Amino acid sequence: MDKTKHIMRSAALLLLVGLPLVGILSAGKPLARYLEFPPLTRYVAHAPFAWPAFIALALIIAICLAPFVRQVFRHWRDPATAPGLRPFPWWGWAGLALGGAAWIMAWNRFRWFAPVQEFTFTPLWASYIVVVNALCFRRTGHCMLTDRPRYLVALALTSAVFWWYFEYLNRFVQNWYYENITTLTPLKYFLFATLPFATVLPAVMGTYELLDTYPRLTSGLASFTPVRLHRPRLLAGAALAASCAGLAGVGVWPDYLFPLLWLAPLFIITSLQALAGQPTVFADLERGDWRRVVLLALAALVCGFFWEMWNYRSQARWVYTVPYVYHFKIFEMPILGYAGYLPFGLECAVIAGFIGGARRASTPRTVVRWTVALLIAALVWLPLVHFVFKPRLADWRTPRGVPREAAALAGRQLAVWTDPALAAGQVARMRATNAEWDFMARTYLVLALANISLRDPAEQPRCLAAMDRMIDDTLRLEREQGTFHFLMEYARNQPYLKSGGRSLFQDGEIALMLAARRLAAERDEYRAPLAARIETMTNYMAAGPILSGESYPDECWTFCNTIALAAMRMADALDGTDHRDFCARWLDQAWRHLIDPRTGLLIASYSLAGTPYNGPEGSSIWMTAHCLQLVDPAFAADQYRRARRELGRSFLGFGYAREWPASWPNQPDVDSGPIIPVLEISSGSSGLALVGAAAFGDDDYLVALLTSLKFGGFPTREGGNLRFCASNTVGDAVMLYALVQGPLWARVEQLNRGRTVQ
Amino acid sequence: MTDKRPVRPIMNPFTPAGLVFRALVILLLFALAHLAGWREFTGILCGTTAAPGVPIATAALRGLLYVLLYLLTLLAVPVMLAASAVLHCWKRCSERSQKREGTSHNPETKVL
Repeated sequence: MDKTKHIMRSAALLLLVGLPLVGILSAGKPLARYLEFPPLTRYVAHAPFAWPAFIALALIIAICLAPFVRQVFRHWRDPATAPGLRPFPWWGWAGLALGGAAWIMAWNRFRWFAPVQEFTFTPLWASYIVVVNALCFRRTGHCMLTDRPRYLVALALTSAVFWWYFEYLNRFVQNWYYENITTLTPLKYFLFATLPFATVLPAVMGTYELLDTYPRLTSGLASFTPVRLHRPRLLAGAALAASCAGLAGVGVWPDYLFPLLWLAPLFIITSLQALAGQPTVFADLERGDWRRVVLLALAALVCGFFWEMWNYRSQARWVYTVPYVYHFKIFEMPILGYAGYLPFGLECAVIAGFIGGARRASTPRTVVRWTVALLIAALVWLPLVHFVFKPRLADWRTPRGVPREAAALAGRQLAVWTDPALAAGQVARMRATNAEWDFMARTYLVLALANISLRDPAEQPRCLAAMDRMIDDTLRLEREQGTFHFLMEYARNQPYLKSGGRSLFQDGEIALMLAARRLAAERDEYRAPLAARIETMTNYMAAGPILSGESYPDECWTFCNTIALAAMRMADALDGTDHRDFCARWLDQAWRHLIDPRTGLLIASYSLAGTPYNGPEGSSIWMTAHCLQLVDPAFAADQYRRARRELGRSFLGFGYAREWPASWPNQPDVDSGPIIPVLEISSGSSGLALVGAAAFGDDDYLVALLTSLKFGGFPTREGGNLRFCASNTVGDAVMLYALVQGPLWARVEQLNRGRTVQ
Repeated sequence: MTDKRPVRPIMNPFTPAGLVFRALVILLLFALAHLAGWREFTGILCGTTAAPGVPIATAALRGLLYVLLYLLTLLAVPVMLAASAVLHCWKRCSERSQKREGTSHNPETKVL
């Protein structure tokens, strides 16, 4: 690139990006909202529809277009050479098929397609580009896709940046905004936007090349009115000054200057090109040849029609808010808005002209074959991958006995808790992130061991000894270190309101452990501590306005409250107490205060008075539903069914769970674990979904989840024991519990049922 | 001055040999990461800190590199190997048909 070009492009970039900001700053407007990402806030209030403005703009557009339309129709019957048509290529048919499928997906709402419903625009436009190229190939034997694939790729990459620039300009005028994307994370938003943006230039330039094969469209325009400028540099300077002033003003007077969003960038770049003595997109006009200019405008208009049409019924879509002329819509776009596509086509050509690679022919067939071969291989392999990891369910979960893989997991867990050095290391790892995990690892392992000892009497002595060791150690730590030992630091920030400094998180799970141990085999030493803890919990829960106990000061968790209810029902089974009335009253309050109206799911956390802090959460709801099985089985089953619908997902045979329903904004926290964007996979929620799937006999989902676990959990076997490298001790304990749970709950139900009958 | 020497097929990513070579490189890198014990560092996926004595940034880097190589090995390598087989067959078929037709392929290119 020569020096002049370099300077010209740098100056253009600086002006295009900087001028709107300069305008905003000089008007004293706050800058931050214009640079917001994702750009969701709407702050420009537009003027209402006005007939005078509509008529004036319509007249201007009509006056500009009429001479061209007249000229084309006058020369329509001029002889034109018809090209010799070739067969429509096979990849064009493939593009048509993909486009048809993508269109069906975009305009319908299939449940199984929901995780990627927002992303239908990219396949739609990819297929459009393929089909347009195929049509061009059919008419001329040439097209970008076969002759210049590298140019096409360069166009796509440039296109993403190009349209992001218009999104940036739209921050200043806010002529359009996107719907149904508010739940997207910044990364997902970036992907959501960048992929379709990359199709803009290839689509417009591909359409231009196709239209160029229809000479009748530009009949009479090859020798139309010439535009000869006597002082071109002076005029270019004046156009540059006016365009710069206009672009600087778009953010200040968006209602008046919004059309400049489409015009100013074009005139700034072409003016600079003219001042630098370089050819511009208008160069042909000097000899009266308007064909290229008209075809480019027409190409953008054709693309505009498809953009607006496909947008119309897509889930993630844009909506316009144009001042004065927002009337007579074709799809979402007001009819006069389509005029904006005309200069946009020229802008596309200007930017496409910057791509140096355009003039280099590449080795087309090799690249096309390579791409097709990779696509074929991917289409064959990727849907098959899950079969490599799909487990035999009998190895992982059985109605009786201890399944093989569960025994291997239990072996590792017992090894950890019987080796003080190993235990200290694992505890330190968990506590470094979250002290709660140290506590929950004990709870889940005790629950798992209680189930194992009920499943296999031969394992009972070993399991009971381990349970006693863990329970005693937990009670000792609570006694010596105090309530806050197993809580996160913020528990110290303010006093508990009703529980007298006690956390239901701790009381509920300790009660659960004590009860589980006694249900596996009675131990008299745990009778009094269990009874005392149940009584204490019940008292402070009953003192709360909605019968909930605090896990943290003025912070109640559904997870902890339902664990406490389950512990009460276990204590009822063991000691003949009766908490049914309290449980029923708690559920009544939950129905009133804790049900998310959008999903029907229990929310995860709330204040003592019942004010929601957030919505339903995957790392809470699966275990909550499982605990409710001991309290109200029908309600529990309903919660599981809803959680499965809102959070449970499968993709190519791999099961996973979201942390939040799609209708809730994403806020990753320590329980959710890192969230994998796009699919919104939460490791925390997916792990606990195993408990839900196993507890409610959802074998299909359980197998899909185990498939993911084997794929992404990085299992490691040491001496017949199993652990997951991507997990930690609490994660492994949850998985173990999911695999062996069942007998303990069954025993509670059996004992309680027996008492009711008596 | 431009080097006009032809690129060796193994170095050209668009050839079957080039694909197989790249697949083998990924396999080799994954094997090295596995033998170096970096699987242990995948605990970063659940938010757990690294093994004692390893700075968190180092552990995270190792864990994420291991995950990346693992995914490439499981998802991309089979695709690359299968694609190289498809390309090889395709090439053989087109060579045969060209021999039959007795013509050499010389695609025209269109310049914008």
